[in-house]
Amino acid sequence: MAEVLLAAVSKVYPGGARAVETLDLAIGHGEFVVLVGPSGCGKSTTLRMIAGLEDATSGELSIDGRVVNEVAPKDRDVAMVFQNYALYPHLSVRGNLSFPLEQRRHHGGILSRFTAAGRSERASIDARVDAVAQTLGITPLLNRKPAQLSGGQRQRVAVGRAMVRDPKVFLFDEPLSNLDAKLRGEMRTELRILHKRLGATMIYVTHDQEEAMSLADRIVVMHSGRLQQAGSPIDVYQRPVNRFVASFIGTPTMNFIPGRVAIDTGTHSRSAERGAAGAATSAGVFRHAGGTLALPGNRWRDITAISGRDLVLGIRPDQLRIAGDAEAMKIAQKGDHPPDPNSSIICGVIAAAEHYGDRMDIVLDSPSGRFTARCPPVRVREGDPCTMIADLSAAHLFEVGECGAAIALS
Amino acid sequence: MAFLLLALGATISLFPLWWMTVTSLQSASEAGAAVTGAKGLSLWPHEAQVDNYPEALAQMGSLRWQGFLDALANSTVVASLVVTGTVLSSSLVAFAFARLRFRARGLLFTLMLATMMLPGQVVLIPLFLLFRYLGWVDTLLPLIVPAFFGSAFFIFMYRQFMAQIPEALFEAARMDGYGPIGLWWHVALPLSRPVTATTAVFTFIWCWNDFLGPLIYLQSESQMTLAVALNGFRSQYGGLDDVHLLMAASIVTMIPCLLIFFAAQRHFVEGLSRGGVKG
Repeated sequence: MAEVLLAAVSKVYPGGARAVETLDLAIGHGEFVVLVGPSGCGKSTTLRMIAGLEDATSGELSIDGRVVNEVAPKDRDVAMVFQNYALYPHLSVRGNLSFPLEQRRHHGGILSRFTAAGRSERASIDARVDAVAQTLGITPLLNRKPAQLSGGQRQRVAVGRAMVRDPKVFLFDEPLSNLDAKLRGEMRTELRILHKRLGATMIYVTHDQEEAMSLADRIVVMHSGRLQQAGSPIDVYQRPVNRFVASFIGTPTMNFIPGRVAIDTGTHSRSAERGAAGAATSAGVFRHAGGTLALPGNRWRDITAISGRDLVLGIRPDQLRIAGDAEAMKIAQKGDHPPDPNSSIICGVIAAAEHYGDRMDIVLDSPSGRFTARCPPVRVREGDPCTMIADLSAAHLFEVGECGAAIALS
Repeated sequence: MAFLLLALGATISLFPLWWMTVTSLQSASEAGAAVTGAKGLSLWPHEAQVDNYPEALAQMGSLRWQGFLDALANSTVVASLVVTGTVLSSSLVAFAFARLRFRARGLLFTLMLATMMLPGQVVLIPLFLLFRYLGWVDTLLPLIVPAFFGSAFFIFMYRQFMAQIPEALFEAARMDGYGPIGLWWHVALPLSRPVTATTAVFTFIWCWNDFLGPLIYLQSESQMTLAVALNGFRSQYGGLDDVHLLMAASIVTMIPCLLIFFAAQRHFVEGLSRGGVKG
């Protein structure tokens, strides 16, 4: 177990490409931290700097209180699992697992098998390898060569090679990206269990936000070399700090609607009736190309401050649902008034309907752009007009721009 | 059709070998007659004279059997050390060129390749003077020591091969605590087995059959290698009477090359990573 501290760490490649920009990150004892972001966001570079495979251009990197900027990879007591497994093809599984230990032998060399010290060391290496193989369930594979293993088995051996050294920190560089979806899910669970069992500090890099969400104690979202947000998966999902994080985390991607906030006195009076929190702030409406959406009064800290500004409204797909026939009729009769002050309607035409058995994704083309809704399966036809009801109680507002900051929630 | 062409080619290539074998089994008069043209070439020995073989080997050199055994020992020592030296030094240098970053790497590599363009005959006299200065003339050292300084062609071959080994393997080994020499010995060299096989076979055959080097640097009979000893045998017995003995001795000399070639053949074609790295 160990603490990993990155203080203003930057990496500039010789060509001038800035891979990581003044990154500050503290990773606690036994924490499982996942660095996530699109390719080229600097997450792998960050991991490789912790490993010592890349030098930090500036900043300070420390493991367990010791600054390791100038320390060779082998002396940092970290182990890494590579995306391509990086098993030595000429060695058996046993050879691969004992490879890191051979280097650390005190009584190695050609003559070691003839000396008592050498033999007992050999025996302890074998015992260690056997124990790790047992943990990972790869004992029957010990005498095989990597070429004779399946992807999942190779991945286990790669993890075993990291475990065998009992390092302070485990580094994973997209270790599951070469596996098929089903195996990936299984390995994810196993890694999570392994982390609980070993209690070691683990730093994991992936571009797959779902993998990040499922594995992490804490997610670190990166984009163009900068840290965007670090927090628990739930925190990052529920309170994204900017539009990039909001769009990157969650499947399908959050819906974004450009528009403008205006204070609506009618909604205000209704939300005031609902409770004290709502009464404290004015409720507003969000005017967009396809109509007006009522914003819940108590969601944002100070909605009057942002009134009149161009913003982007973000709605998760699971907060959109198809209005039932009766509901749609009611809406049609009432005009533009939604059935609930926190909800609003969006009208459009169904562009695509994707079925997943237990749920479905409906893509709606509306005057305000394209929306995706995730809802229980219903019978719809592509090309049909459709009314969706948006639950805005968990909606977000962002400044304009790819990384536009989130408007503070209350 | 392709098969017929191949068969024809093979027959033409193998005919001299067959002729050698036949001649080596003939009696002195029969072989002599065929060489002078007094009698046509026979494709089958009338009566296999297996005794030609021990006789030929025994007659090599001035002392019965001693000449052959000395030459065999010398050739074996030289060839095995030259193979070891070439493989170790060439792969080590190639590893540096392929995997380490250092200043003027490209320039040095070009310079190294340029030495391949230099004809061997050009450096013959300077080398001889150098070895004479070192007092190595009439020892096996001039034949062995240069091999430990790499061979441009094999360095080139190793480098091309090692450049293809996935970087992750080296990174993994670095994290496991291996330095540059460890990376070379534990990762690069074992994975370059096909190149090692090729290098070993070609170096062995070249060295075993090398005639000029030993002829120049070696003087006393006890230092001779087989290729040169065979030549001594020829001037002694290369008269038309004893062509059958020459052929017998030549065939014995060839055997190790053939064995080594067939033994190493299957490694030539072996692929690089064999599944250790996916993607």
